Amino acid sequence: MPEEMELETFFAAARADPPAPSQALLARIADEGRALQPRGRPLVAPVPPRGKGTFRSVLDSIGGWPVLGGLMTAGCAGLWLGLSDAGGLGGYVYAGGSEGWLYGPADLVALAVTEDGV
Amino acid sequence: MPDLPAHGAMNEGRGSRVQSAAGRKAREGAGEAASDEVLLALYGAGDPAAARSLADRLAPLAFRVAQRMLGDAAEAEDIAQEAMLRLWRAAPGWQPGGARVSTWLYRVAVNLATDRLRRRRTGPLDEAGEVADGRPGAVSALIEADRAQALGAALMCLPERQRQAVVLRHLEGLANPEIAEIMDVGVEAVESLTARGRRALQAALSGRRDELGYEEG
Repeated sequence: MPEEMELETFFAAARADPPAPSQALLARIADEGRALQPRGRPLVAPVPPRGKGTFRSVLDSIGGWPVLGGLMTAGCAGLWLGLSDAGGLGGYVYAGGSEGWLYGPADLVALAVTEDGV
Repeated sequence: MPDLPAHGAMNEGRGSRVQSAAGRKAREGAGEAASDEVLLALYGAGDPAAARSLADRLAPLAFRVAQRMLGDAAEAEDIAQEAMLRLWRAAPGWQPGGARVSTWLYRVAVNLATDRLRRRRTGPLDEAGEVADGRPGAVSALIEADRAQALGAALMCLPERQRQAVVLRHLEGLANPEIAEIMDVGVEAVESLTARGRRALQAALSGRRDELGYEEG
């Protein structure tokens, strides 16, 4: 159809001469894009873990810092019990045929041993 | 942009160089035809060259369609800038395998242009009357000597949806399914709009045949 062909020549002419944005506009748009661009994820190699020392190996073998903390607490408590004057246990004690002053848990143990006659 | 600490800046610089090299490699690997989606992914990953590449490739598309729908270069510039701004913001969350970037941008540009056209229609009544009154007259007044300009003027006389369909189909060269996606209608509706638009353009341009170099007969 001739009229259809004529219309196609109009379209072809318009496609051949498309409206184009200015270089200044493209530069502005690119600048805006760079300003809004997400920060790049740095592509640096991860730092390898350092080698284990002797202390670290021992610590790991007993279960790490939490276990070491528990051991230290128990040790301190034992030391305190051994060195302090356990007032609750002190006093003059009669036990069977023995008697004497009881100053602390160590005396109590000694007394028990004596009682058993070991 | 917030200032970066020196260490971060150093990492950023090194990362950017690595990414730029990766971007070049990706572009070279894909030849000149690195897809818009690849460029957008590079942009999202911080490739400093991707913003300019995307602007050069996609902003003209938004500008063209806006200019052809509105017939106003200044408004088309605003729309191209706004459409690209939306693309920059959408880039970090862009889902690969979804809509094509160009289809998405066409849709944004067409919608922005439609908003402008509607705002024009809500302007003073005498302005609206000028367009409504004299479709042939308006065409006569606007038509320049060459056919591209005559077509541009005739397009301005088409109803909004017909104009969109004709611009996307015959000037941007898109397929009907893509136009349907952009305009959010069915393919049949696109065909109908395009056919009616073509008939209206023929009617508007037929009176200019002699001036535009067509002989009778």
